Amino acid sequence: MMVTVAKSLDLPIKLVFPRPAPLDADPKDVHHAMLGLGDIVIPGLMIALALRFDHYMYYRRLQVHKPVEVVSKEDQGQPVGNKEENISLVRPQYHAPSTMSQKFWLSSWSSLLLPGRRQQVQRANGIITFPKPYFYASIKGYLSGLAATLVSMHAMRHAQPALLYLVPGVLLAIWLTGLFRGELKEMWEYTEEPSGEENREVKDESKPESQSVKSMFRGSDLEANEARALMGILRWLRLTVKREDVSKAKSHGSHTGTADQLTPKDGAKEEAEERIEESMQDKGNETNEAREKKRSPYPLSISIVWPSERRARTELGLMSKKQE
Amino acid sequence: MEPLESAAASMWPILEEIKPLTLTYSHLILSAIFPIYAGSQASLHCPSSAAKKDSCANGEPTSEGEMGSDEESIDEGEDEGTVKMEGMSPLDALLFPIMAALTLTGLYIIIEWFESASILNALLGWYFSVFALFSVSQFLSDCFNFILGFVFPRRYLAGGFVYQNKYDIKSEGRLKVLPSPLPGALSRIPLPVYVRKALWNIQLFVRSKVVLKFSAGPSESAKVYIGMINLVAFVSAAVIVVSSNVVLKPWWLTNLMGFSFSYGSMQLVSPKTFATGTLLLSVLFFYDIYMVFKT
Repeated sequence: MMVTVAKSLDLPIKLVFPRPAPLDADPKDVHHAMLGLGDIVIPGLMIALALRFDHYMYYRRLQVHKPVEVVSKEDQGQPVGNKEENISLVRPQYHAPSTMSQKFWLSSWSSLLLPGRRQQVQRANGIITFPKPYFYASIKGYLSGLAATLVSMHAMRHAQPALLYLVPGVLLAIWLTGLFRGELKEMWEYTEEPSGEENREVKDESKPESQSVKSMFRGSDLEANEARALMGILRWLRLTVKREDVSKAKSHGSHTGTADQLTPKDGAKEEAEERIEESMQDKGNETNEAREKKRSPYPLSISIVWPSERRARTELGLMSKKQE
Repeated sequence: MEPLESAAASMWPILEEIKPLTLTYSHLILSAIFPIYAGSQASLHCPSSAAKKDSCANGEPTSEGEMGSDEESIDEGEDEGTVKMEGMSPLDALLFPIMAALTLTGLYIIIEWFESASILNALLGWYFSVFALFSVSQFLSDCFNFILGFVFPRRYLAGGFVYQNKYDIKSEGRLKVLPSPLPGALSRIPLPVYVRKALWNIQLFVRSKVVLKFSAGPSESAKVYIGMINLVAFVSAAVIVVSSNVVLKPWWLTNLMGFSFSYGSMQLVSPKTFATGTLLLSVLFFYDIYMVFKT
């Protein structure tokens, strides 16, 4: 059924490759080998995830844990025996990885001729790169699976489901790499959810409210658009929350930027809306007006900025920015 | 040694069969790896474990990877706008094969009922064409940017010095300003003034971008950068899509559209965790076996 549909629908849902006609067929017919797009995209999603995980692990290894001593008020700067020790996480500065063309133009001959010092020379020249063990492993797994598909197609003289061989290839490659590198825990915990809380190793014991907020907002079943709209509401909420919710607001506000990342579930969404309604009744006059302005539906405005030659020239360093 | 020998013996005729098809299969393998490699590099964004300006902890995509446009931020500190990735939840992963099976069955029934696939081809052709237009233009613009990076790089190493935009904050002592529009060793070629000017103008023209700013409120705004490259890519994509519908559909055009679909979708969708991805792949594993062999 699948083959019938794939062959009769003349749409780009597959890749076709011309092949030499088999010996017993009419030489005028054009024969093709076929590979479905699903066999590329679906393992590809996993491989892309492996690459992003490599990227994440690279920066995670560069993270620094700095112990920050918290001194309680009563002591007035004199630390006592059992003080609260918060460990703050210092995140490394992100640099977008160099593209192939940048690597080409920025690499020197010495990086080619001295393979041992390649990484050092590359970094010295400004090339930004990171080790990709999971990515290369998963690509090799994919290639083995693909080779196995082709061989078995000949062995059994029948169209093969490519995913039958690709899936074990990719999955085994990724998980075995994790096993041998001893990073299974990080793999299991890795998520690309927008909430930064889940990726933090730090346990903020000084802020128990943040834990409950975190657990409430874990996971996202909402579409990205809804989440974005809710982010806007939450951001706005930082100003307008009732007294009881001050602790929660603080945990929102204190993690500047993380409030934007919380993507609540449906139940939490209703709660957030209730809070908005409650807080609306508590508002003073001034802020009411300010809020009215904010809430008034902005027409979607589109502005076009034409490129100025000045800006393009500045990009290329042909002109000083101060010469405006 | 017997089982090994018999295994080798049974493999030999298969390998003999494959020999004439080596070129086809190499083509197949390369064509499968290419969109995966390019798409995964393009899906790279600032990870939650790193910090960039307002903190990447929220996973905002801030730049493109392999085939992306210039990742160095423009002087004003603006980033190229990229789309946030939609995630698959475990529920989505479980439902995926069911939806796929229903779709496939539906298509099969329609094909059998109408006894030809022409109506279906026409309808779906329209849908795919619109989709293909945007996918192919994104793919082509990334391709052209890739080529542009080779032809007119913004930074290059020549004679032990890195030449670049002198307003890059990360610049160190050994960085100098671009002396000539040609990169690398070619920069030493003495050019007459008008040639140099012409080359600079070409570079400026190709790199200049129109900024479309959509704003729906004080804090919500999105910026879209459209440059010559995007325009050329869009026009080429339109030509490709129209010609593939109206004129002819050679295999390489189908492949090009297939590449752009997979390239685009790999940047849009992500199984957010390894667990979800594993679940998705396992479920589709069984689905594929069932679909191909039992039907």
